[in-house]
Amino acid sequence: MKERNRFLASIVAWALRILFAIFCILPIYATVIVALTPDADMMRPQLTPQFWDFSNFVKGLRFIGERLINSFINSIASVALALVIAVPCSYVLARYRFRGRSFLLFCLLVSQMMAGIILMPSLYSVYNNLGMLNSRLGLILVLTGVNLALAIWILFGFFQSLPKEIEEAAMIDGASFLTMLLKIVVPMSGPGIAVSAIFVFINTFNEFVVPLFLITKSHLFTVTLSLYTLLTDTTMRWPLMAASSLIGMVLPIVIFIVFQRYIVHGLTSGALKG
Amino acid sequence: MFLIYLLPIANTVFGAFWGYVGADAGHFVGLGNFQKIKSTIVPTVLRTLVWTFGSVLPAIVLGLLLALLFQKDFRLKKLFMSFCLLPYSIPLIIVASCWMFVYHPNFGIVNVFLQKIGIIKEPIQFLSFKSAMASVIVVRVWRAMPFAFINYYAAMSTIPLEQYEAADVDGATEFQKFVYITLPSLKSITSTTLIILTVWTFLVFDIIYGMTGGGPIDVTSIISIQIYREQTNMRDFGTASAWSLIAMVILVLLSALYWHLFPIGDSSERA
Repeated sequence: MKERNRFLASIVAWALRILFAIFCILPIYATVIVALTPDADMMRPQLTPQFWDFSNFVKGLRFIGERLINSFINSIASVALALVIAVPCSYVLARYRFRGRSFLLFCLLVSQMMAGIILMPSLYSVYNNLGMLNSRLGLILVLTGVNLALAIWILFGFFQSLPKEIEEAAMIDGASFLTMLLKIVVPMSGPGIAVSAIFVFINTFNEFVVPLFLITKSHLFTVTLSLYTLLTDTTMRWPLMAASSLIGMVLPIVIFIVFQRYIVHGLTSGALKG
Repeated sequence: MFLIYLLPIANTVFGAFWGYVGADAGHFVGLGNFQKIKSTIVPTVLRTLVWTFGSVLPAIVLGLLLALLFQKDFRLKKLFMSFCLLPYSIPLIIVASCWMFVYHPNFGIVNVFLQKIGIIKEPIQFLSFKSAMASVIVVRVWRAMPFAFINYYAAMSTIPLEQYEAADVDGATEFQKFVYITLPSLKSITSTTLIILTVWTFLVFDIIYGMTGGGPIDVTSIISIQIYREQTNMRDFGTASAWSLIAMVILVLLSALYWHLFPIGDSSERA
């Protein structure tokens, strides 16, 4: 009896797992089908790919190739900038007790809440007055800013879990704060830094609202912006849109899958609470 | 770094009570900006709440279920895990475009499938007036579920195995183990996930803007859409700020409510 129950339970579990997997893949599968269809056959219903026309990917690459590079540059620059600021900030927050510390931590939480579309009109008007619209540097600064809280928060959790003793020993041996940070703390916090870098990278690469408000010149368009122009184009070029979507999602997906262990591990070790 | 947040917040609060367009330009207008959007405030806020809770609660329940399904090792676990985390890594605007290929009346895969097996004759208009909100909510659930899943999965892997072994010795059923061991250990992760997803979802712009643009006839126009419209179409920083301020106030109230309902103590991080 018990054996039979267990057998039934495992069948149900498998059925559910497969259902969930189908649900998660379905939109991407649908996109693949459309991406493989020639324009002329677009209105023909298909459950499985019938045409295997790869030319859309060539068109898609021509369409968003340059924008991929833009997005990539923005993301890499934001990750670097965010880490340079976040590592010392979160280290100080994790190690030292000072006046206003808990207020700062609270501000971090709130700022994660307030980011996004709420602040964009205001940022737009500030940038407009400063003449910083359509500037790559300006975009990168905002992208870094809206992700900084997340990076600090992740690293803060990670630094708290590191043992203090090694750093204290280094300090006693006469290491300066900066030496200690670079030679001891950073090498020990590989996973924490990796997790925050991954999240900042994916977040900035996927960001749509910020460039939507700040960028209007097409040579600075990000992948997300150019996809949006396809989505709102009056002549719906579905296959091109599908192929470009697939090209645009490759990088974040690859990063996510390659670093999956880091991401899950980062979460388990309490790195990501925010 | 707080300049990036504090300055715009202050600017927004200021802007909400200042005139920018027409005769009011450059004056303090009191509640004038709110007056201008008065007729849309209540329906928009209600729509935003429907959108938020309609997608956050199912996402959390499904994420928990998914985490339970992945709690024990099984064959191909890694592969399935990658599949189920996939939605979380894709840019939201691409999510919107991918779902267009699911929902489209002519070649959308759901309509094609349902017609092929003969359940429906006419294609379902997923993004029509009646069903657009439900359709975009499904997309949001699709996107948010993996986040809840990964959180629960991580939290479950920290529950000591001894607890389950002890329960086995005592002859507990799977259900009892779930209710008495698993669930109590997930309290703090549930409250954090709930807060984060609520805030994120409340402000989501890309999915709705990409799929419906707030329409048809405003059924899916939530606060974030209104902010964008006022700013871009009306070029009115005042009303855009007024909407932002409304969103901020609601978010603060919601977080305070959560804080009150599920207090997160410093020490209970692993509890």
